[in-house]
Amino acid sequence: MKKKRSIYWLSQLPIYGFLIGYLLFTVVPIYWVFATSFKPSTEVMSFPPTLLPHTLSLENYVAVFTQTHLGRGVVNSLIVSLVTTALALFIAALAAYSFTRFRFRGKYFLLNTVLGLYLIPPLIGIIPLFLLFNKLGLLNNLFGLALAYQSLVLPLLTFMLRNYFEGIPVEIEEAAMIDGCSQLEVLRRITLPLAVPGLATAAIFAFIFSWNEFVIALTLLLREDLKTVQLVIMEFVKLHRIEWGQLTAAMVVGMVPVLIVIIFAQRYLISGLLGGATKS
Amino acid sequence: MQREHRRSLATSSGEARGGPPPLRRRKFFWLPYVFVAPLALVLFSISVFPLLWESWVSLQDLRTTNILRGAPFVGLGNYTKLFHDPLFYHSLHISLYFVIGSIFGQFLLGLIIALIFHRMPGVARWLRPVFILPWILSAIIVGYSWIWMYDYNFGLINLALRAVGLHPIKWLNDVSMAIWALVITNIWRGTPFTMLFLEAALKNIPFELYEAAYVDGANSWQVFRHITFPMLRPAVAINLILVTMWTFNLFDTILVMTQGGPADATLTTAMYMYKIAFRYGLFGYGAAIALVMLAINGIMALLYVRTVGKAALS
Repeated sequence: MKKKRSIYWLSQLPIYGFLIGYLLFTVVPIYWVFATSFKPSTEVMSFPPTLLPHTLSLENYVAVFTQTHLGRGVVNSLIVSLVTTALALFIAALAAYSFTRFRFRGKYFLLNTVLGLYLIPPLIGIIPLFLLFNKLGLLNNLFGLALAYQSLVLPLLTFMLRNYFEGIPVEIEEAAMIDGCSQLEVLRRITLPLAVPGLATAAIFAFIFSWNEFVIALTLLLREDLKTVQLVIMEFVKLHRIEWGQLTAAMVVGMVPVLIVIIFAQRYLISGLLGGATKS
Repeated sequence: MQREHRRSLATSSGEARGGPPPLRRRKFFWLPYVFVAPLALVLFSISVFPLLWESWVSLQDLRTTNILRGAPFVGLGNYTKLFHDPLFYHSLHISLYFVIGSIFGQFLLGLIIALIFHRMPGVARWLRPVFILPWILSAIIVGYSWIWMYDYNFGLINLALRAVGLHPIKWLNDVSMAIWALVITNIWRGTPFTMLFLEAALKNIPFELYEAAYVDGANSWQVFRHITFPMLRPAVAINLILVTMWTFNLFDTILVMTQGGPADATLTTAMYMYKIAFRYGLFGYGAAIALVMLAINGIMALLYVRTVGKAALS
């Protein structure tokens, strides 16, 4: 019996070996950023590099918040992400509700358009988006950027929420209507409270997306004081000279929301993203 | 779909019995339109309309210098120029390497991890959050993390190469190496999606099938060959199409890491389009490239819709 067991463990060895190998592949680049960010600037550029920081220092973090616009970048990013999330949640929830509960003319045409827009990559439309925002005077405007982000988050959010609403039984709503609720009251008092996990997933997705995005921000925001976190991080890279200590510290700051989501709301994120990508 | 069907049956039988007509619905016939109006409005004005406008722009010689005066109309000039542009064909070539390399690595790794996770839920619970991290980091952070990893003097990869007595490599500055360096980064970033996607598909295979097979005396390879693999095929197809599209259009990490260089060695089609429009200011020509990319995407999207449809039927 004992021998059999050890044979079993031996046969599992390649699996564990593979998992450990992949774990290192995943973690090492991120570890290297963290390790560098806590090294004092003299140690960052010492050769050969030290695997573990010899002295832990917050020098780089102090520097990025006092000497650069990283703080302002964080504020700008928060504004854009919160506005994007609120707007997208409102628009997508109403539409998704309508798609699940009503039959109306043009419903499938609209749904297919939304699916098509989901499949069209944002890059394709970036030239006319820039020209349009230029004409409308919406360049260099954080709210304009939040509006531009709608074109990217709305299709996925609509499908995510439609899937979620479909899981809520109509019978509950019908019962409330028989008891004298109007359609709007049903939505406000019954369906939306029941859909909170779905709405949370959608909100997390929209927030992380707009926090991480940089190509459209780079195109639409040209003024220094409006730059989002991601754009501020880009500034650390000057021609032929990179302050790696400060750059990595800024990157860690830029990672914070993502880490929070991974730690506290991982399940929502996974289910939401898969729901959006698979069921259409 | 099913629910709607049931519901319409319910109302029609109610009406047949002489019940009251659905008053509320008649009274609020405009309600669904009001609910979808914001979505339709926003998507039309910042997605559909710009795409239509783009086809108009692609027929003009619009550049930064004539953006205010109005650009000359050149008909299909941009497109004929594109089909004679050696750099465009070069970029398609680079994209092909990038897509095939990324998908090969990402799919293989994703499939193996998904199978392991499916068999070991306990291990999966601890490792999954770590494994998905690269996927939700921003392109900027992914890009700079890997630039730092690939750094000639201070990067960990060259540190490891030196430690085992090999010559360090100029990863991102080497014409023949740079595209593969980007492929590795992209595999790092993209594998979690394939892994999660296939894991979800594995969960959907009915447990009874495995039971029946084991009862009939099948070994684990036979179970994989005759149950897991065929049942997984639709999901694999959908995953491969989606990832192909995303990888073909991906360029944010490339913009951060190499900007198409050195010597255009990493100039994918997406990167080329962005460079033409926003580096050289040739919006008309860039729009033409974008629309050719859209056509390529359209073919893949059709494939996607058909595969999803087939998967739903089976």
